[in-house]
Amino acid sequence: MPAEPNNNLLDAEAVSRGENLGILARSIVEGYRVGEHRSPFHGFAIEFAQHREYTIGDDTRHLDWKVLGRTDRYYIKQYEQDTNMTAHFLLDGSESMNYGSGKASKLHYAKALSACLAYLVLLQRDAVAVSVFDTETRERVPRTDNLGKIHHIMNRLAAFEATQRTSLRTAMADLAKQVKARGMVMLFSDIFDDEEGFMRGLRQLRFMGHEVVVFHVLDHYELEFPLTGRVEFIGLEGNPTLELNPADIRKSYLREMNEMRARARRACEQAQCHYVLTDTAAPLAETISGYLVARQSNPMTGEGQK
Amino acid sequence: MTFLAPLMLLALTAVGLPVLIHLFSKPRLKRIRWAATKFLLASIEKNKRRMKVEDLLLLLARCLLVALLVLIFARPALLVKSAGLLLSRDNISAALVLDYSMSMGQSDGAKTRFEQAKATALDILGKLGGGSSCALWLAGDKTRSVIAKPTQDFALLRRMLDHATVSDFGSDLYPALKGAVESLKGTEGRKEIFILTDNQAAAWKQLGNIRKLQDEHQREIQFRYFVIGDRGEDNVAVTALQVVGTAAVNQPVRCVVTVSNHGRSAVEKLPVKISVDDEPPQDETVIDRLEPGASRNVSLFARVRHAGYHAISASIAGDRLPADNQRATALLVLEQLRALVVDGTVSANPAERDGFFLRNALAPVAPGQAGQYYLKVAAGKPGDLDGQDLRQYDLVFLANVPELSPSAMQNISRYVNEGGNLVVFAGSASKADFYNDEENLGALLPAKLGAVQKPEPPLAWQSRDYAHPVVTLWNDPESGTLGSVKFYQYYPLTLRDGALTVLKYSNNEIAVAERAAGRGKVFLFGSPAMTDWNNFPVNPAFVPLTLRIVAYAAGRSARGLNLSPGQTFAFEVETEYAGKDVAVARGGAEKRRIVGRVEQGGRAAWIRYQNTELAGAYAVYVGDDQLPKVVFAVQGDAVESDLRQEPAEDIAALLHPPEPESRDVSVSDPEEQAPGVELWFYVAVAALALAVTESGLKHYFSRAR
Repeated sequence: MPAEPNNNLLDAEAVSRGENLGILARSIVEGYRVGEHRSPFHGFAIEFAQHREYTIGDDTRHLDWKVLGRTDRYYIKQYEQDTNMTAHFLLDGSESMNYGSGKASKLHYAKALSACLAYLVLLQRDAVAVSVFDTETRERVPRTDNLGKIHHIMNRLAAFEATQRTSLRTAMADLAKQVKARGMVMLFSDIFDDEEGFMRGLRQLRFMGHEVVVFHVLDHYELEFPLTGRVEFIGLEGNPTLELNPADIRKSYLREMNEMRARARRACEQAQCHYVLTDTAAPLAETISGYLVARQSNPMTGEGQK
Repeated sequence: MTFLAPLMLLALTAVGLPVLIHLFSKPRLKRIRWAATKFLLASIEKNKRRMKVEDLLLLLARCLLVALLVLIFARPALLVKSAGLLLSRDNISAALVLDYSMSMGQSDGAKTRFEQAKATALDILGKLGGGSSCALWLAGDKTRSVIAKPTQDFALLRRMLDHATVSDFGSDLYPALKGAVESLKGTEGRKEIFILTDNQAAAWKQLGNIRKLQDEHQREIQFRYFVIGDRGEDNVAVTALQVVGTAAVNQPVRCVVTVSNHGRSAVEKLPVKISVDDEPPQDETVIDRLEPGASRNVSLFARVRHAGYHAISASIAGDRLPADNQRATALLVLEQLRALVVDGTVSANPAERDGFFLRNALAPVAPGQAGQYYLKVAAGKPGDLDGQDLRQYDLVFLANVPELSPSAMQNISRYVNEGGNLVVFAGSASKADFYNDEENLGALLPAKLGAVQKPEPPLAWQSRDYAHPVVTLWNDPESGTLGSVKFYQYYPLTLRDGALTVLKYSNNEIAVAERAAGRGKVFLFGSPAMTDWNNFPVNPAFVPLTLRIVAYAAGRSARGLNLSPGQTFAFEVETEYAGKDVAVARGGAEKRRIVGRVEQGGRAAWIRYQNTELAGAYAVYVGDDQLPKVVFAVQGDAVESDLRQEPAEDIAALLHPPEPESRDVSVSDPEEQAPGVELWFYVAVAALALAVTESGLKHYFSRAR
């Protein structure tokens, strides 16, 4: 039974403390797992190598039933790699991620979202690696499949504060260079950086055989632009300060924003990546469950997501 | 176009306010740290021009709105010809004040000033808005409230204006202005009083009160003056008509006619005529030349054939103000008068008797003609006063009488109280103590006798500034002088209560005094009518002065016959006339018309008549009598004949000397352009429309784009 949509835990104070972030991730993920028997990530990125004879204690899930049917002998499938798949969490920690119209900023939301997914992956006995970047990779948690390390991951995530500009191109290129084994890459970003660099990074990761999921994290105000009255917009990441009446340009702004979203989605589709639009106003559990349900229905494209 | 409150235009500087507010105001800003700035920049770049145009349009609309608001308070008005009126289509509570004094009868050859004023008044009525109301007042020294309270019945107003006529009243704007102000109390909307006057100096005789009235009401009422007629037009007038002496049947009556030239050029060969009861003129003279601003007295004689009440009229050639080209006076013509002269001392020689000169002065005709003379004179001794019925005499003279017996004193007192006239000459034989004693004649006499004075050199009577009616004749130098009468001895007089000074000595002591006692009159001379103390009996003034005393005393019953315009005529008649119809005919032109009935009032009956607006002689008839019971005359104010006007442009300064730009007083010339329809309403509508447009634009511009 899916967890109740609840964002109570998702506030700036909670996310800034790793312990709370862990509790948040566990409560959301456990809520999601009730009644589930199969991991959505199970068996993924595991390559068959050879058979060996069954011995007591082996997991019967790995019996080759076809061989048993033909020869009446018990053989276990052996894989090229024993470990589970590795999910790389690539988190945009640039200054633009600091914006939030509500209690939580986009960065807070992204931290919470990545924490939940990391917890989920570790529960599946798969491995996770976490990187936080701006112009370069600022924080890196090496690959681990130890669920006990989750608190370490949470603390590292929580401690990070965004101050710099973004360079998606660099961060994605660095990841592509460092990770040789195929795995899963989850990118959390508002993609306000150079779009060309973002597309290039996507192509690069795909070329390396990674499954890429892009969580396009945007604030509700950035999506709807419902501001009224005279507003002074203090630009982030070196952008100028503007004073204007938002109503004067609302339609034009929304057009620009939607075009950017469409470009990002199109780029993902072209590179056969998952594109998940993430509105920070939506409850975290709803966002996760929405993505996972869509993923089950169409594991490659995540169709069903916004 | 003009502005009725032009000073408000200074506020147009406020048009810059929206610009200043735009430049310097710091609106309450919401500050947001914004990530998606690049989309804002792109949107701004695309909408920059449109946003500038919209901002400019809004700024212009707001500046224009401020300008229109200022214009509303500056009260723009269209200039219109011949109106000279400050009117608008909104509702006004107004009062029309028309000067209807005699001078308004002056004609410019086509229309009188009053007709011009009525035309202007109709013009004003035509320009008042539909919901306006108006009162109508006629201004003179007698005010008439034709429509006392503002009415919206303009048909009635026009009809009453049409029926209004000029009067022979004097000018005085204050009473009507006060009435008009009162009439506007309690009315709604803007209040204005329109004053139409020929602006004679006399109209401002209560200038102080007018100033006060306007100052008190300057906030709620606007006073607007319209000067009618040209300034200082020529006018020659009969400004006075005085009958000298006693009017008796078939005796020539001397009439002194005063003619004045108020014009700017001399008048030559001006005929002056006198007539009785609208009969053909009996006497005529010609004034050869009358200089501008000069007055001339001419004496003309009239003779009346029947006793009773008559009117004597003096007239000159016509000019553009007919009302003052003639003047009438009413008088009582007597059949005969009887006088008793009591000598104080007895002498064998009549010429040495104390009353000798008096008897000759009272009947200044040859002995053979004394029987035909209207004044019958009898001689008497103090003892004759004891039991004689004095009521047969119109006057009793006491000439140097030492004292009187108690019965004589009682007889004299009763005689005076019942209407008899007593003239006392105190001389060497007169006992001052007796005359001063209240128990004796003191109660009747107008003054006390002082100690006998013997001035060296001799004293004379005053030579000018005569105030008493008996001696005003000598104010005219052509009538001679009383200053040539010399006194070697005299009693200085001290006035009693209610007494009047008739004459003074040159040292300012009182020489002759007069007093009303009961229904009669008493004169006291401080010197005898003999030559032992003075030269009065042989002075040329002796006869006329004596006869004027007779005329004054005997003419008592003619008092009240000469009125000023508007004064109520009241005349006592026998009670048998009570209840009978009273008919009046003015002059010779009007037919007699019944105006009321004889009123019963106590033990007497009275004829009363109030409609005396016009000057001239009025004949009053009772019942079916063919002859008038009484004749009276109405005489206009001579000042009205001076048609010179105060400069119109000086009215504001006249009313508010320290504030030449007083906004509540305006003087309008009907021929000039003047503010007509006020435009503030239209400007207000435009401002409202602009405000709505601005609001709509703001809303339209601020919609999401």
